[in-house]
Amino acid sequence: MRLLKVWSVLLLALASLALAGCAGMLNEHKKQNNASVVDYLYPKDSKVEAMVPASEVNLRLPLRVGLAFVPSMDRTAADLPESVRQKLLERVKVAFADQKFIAAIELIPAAYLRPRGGFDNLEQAARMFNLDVVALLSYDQVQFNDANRLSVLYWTIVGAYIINGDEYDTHTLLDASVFDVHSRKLLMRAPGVSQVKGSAAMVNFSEKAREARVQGFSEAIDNLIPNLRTELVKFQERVKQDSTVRVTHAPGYAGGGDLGLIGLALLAAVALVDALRGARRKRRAG
Amino acid sequence: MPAALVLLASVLPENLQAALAWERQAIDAGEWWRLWTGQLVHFGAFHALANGAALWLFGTSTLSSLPGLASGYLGRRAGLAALVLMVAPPLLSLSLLLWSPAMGAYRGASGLVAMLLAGVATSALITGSRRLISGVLLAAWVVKILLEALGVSLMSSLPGGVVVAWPVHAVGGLLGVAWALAASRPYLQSGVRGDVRA
Repeated sequence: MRLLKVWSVLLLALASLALAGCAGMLNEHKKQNNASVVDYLYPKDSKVEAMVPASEVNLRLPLRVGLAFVPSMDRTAADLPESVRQKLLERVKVAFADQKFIAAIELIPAAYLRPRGGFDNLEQAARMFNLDVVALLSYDQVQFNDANRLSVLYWTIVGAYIINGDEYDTHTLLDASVFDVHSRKLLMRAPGVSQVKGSAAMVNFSEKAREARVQGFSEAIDNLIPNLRTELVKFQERVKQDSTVRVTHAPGYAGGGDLGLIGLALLAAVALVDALRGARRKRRAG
Repeated sequence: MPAALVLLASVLPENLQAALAWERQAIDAGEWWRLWTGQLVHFGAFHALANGAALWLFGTSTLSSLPGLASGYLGRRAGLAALVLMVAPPLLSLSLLLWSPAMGAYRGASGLVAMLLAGVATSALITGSRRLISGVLLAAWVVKILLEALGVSLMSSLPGGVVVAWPVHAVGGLLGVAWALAASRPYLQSGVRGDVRA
């Protein structure tokens, strides 16, 4: 009887240790999710174009701007849902909608961009949405998942529900690259970074880790927006000295107060007639 | 004086003129002096000469002898005239901010010309003198504004790509009429009729 009790305790302890160990193995230690603007615009099988002198960039203000995430080549479970992407892009749109040189900002859904689509795909999307300039958001997000010392309490079974024995550390890098569609020239770029750390219990770790990935993107967007504003100001100054960039305005942008030559002639005629009458009156009075 | 300021502004370097011109984005950013100075700078010498010449005509003894200006009732109310000349430029500039949302840049003194023209003509109509000339001037100005609002601009002194900002002409005309009515109150109250000159 005693031997049975000893074996039972030993088996229970072994099972608990195994469970605690499993806690550390249930979640992948590293998850990576990225989309590169270079891979999108210059896919590996595309022909390498010879270097040509920089063509002139014509920016006709106000501009119609497109905003899109670079399509990822590997849509894994770690990738952002399209609804979340659109909400993030909407925040960037709202931040720049008040710029006077921007006529409209269109959000380009992922369905309109092909992975490795190249400039041809970008131009197709720009034609569909009638865009002059497109801002592409590329990203690289890495999430490290590790068990901490508290995970030993998972053997209690209850601990797996209430003890935050797993930690996540999410690093996100966003890069906004703004391209002139017609000349294919990169006009400006700006980064946004974030780091989100936290912990969760085993049973709800996947959910918390997913929320952290979304929060990572959200905070990176918050970091990107002021950086992009700064780059925009620098670009406006650079353009004044850059002879390859020509800025013109849509009709109706510049207005003038003009009497017109006919108006001036009419006014002069009135003044002349009145002067002649005045002179005649003086002669009669004199 | 206004004509002299316009011609002086026209000889400034372009970067200085650009710093004085009416620009929506700059005004939004706090460069409020442009609400006044935007009426003084022009798109080129031809544009400046046309408006400067019109302002000069109003400053000469010829047009100023029309009842109501300088020697007339408008001139007697010198304080009112000074106030109008201070307040008119920003009111004209604000009319562009409100009624021309697509316009990002503006230059020209014809809003002030419109104000003087409408003021003189209205004053003359009130005092009962020069009614024919004044009526013709006012009618011609209204026709001009209507044509400009429809996109028709006859023999403009503006360079290519620059549209005529008709809201400035309309608001200038209204300001001139209001000025004439305010300045002619003593005349209207006294009930005097006929050719009135100081």
